[in-house]
Amino acid sequence: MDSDNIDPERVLSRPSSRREAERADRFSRTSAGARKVAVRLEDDPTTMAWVLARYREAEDADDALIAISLGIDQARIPHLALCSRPRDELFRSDIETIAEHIGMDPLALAEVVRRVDAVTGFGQRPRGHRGGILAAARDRAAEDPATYDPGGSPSSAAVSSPSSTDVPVVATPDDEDER
Amino acid sequence: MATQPDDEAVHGRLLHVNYVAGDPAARGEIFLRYFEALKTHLHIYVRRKQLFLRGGDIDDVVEEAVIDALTSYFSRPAAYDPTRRGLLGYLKMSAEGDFKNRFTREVGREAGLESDFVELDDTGWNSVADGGIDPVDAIEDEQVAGALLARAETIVETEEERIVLRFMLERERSTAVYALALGITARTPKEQRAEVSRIKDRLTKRIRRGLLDESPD
Repeated sequence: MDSDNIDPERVLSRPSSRREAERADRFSRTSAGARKVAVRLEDDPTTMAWVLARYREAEDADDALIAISLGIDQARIPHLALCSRPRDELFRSDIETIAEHIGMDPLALAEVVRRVDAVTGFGQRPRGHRGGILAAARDRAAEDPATYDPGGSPSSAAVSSPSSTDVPVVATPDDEDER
Repeated sequence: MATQPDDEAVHGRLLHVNYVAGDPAARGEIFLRYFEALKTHLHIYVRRKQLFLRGGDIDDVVEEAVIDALTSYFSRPAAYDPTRRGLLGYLKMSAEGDFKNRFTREVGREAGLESDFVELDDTGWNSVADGGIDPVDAIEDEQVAGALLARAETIVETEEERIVLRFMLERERSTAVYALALGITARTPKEQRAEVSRIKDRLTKRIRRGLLDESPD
């Protein structure tokens, strides 16, 4: 996958304006409502709500910590959760679209998605295991060096995308051919 | 600059097109654009009907109804028919329905709490019996359809984009139909899907940026 080619300047260099300030204010005012909707989406692996919920579990992090690691206001986390998970075939483009919508660094977003891809590709970890995503990645590399691909994409055989896990896939509004 | 009703009718349909086409930010954009508008709509409805709860907070009922309406649309966007009305009008109608259900339940619960059994007050106060659809929202005319097509013309840059956007507006979901119209049926199904996705992605990005450049209010 070409997340390395994402150009943060393209997404972040848009001039600030009164409209952007109004948008920021709207993000803040509607954050609590967005959180309520996001909670309802957490079981759907095609959503960022699902990605963030897995990230929260794996990293034992709350929204405040996630906001810091993503470099955004905490009020925007629920709005990020409302977005769809980037599609494998349009990963770079989707990451940029989401980053532009939220007003954030696309590279930080891509990193979170990739980390969750890595963890969910490993299947269920034992209850109580709190080694974190990176530790889980190391475990995986040690267990199965033949198929571990540190530079690979989640669509490769080594690292499954969420749609290939045991989690039931919820139908998306997209192309009926893909249902 | 305030958005005119006709503009809103076009914007809502374009947001819907983007959501159905898989734009990953469309759900968030729809929420950001309509959540407060729907709450305001229900608050006006509550005031107009002079509805109240004896113990509970009616604002909570309003917010939950709006969330129900949005969540319902997000999970079943095909239930919205853009040829019949604008997205905001559809969501208002849906939120009103969800509000009435929740409110009626809440009034019944309060009545039960006070008298040890559930009984709806049937003396006329706090009634939500009417249809309640704002007639202004129900107005659909050729001007909106014309405005939508005019806007579509400003979005496309190539003939293939024009073909794909036309099908998107017609709610076509089969890749085979897109592939046939684009003349790419000789390619593998995977290549066809990828090509259609690429064109849709270009279009949804352009639509979204166009809408962002205009005030949401």
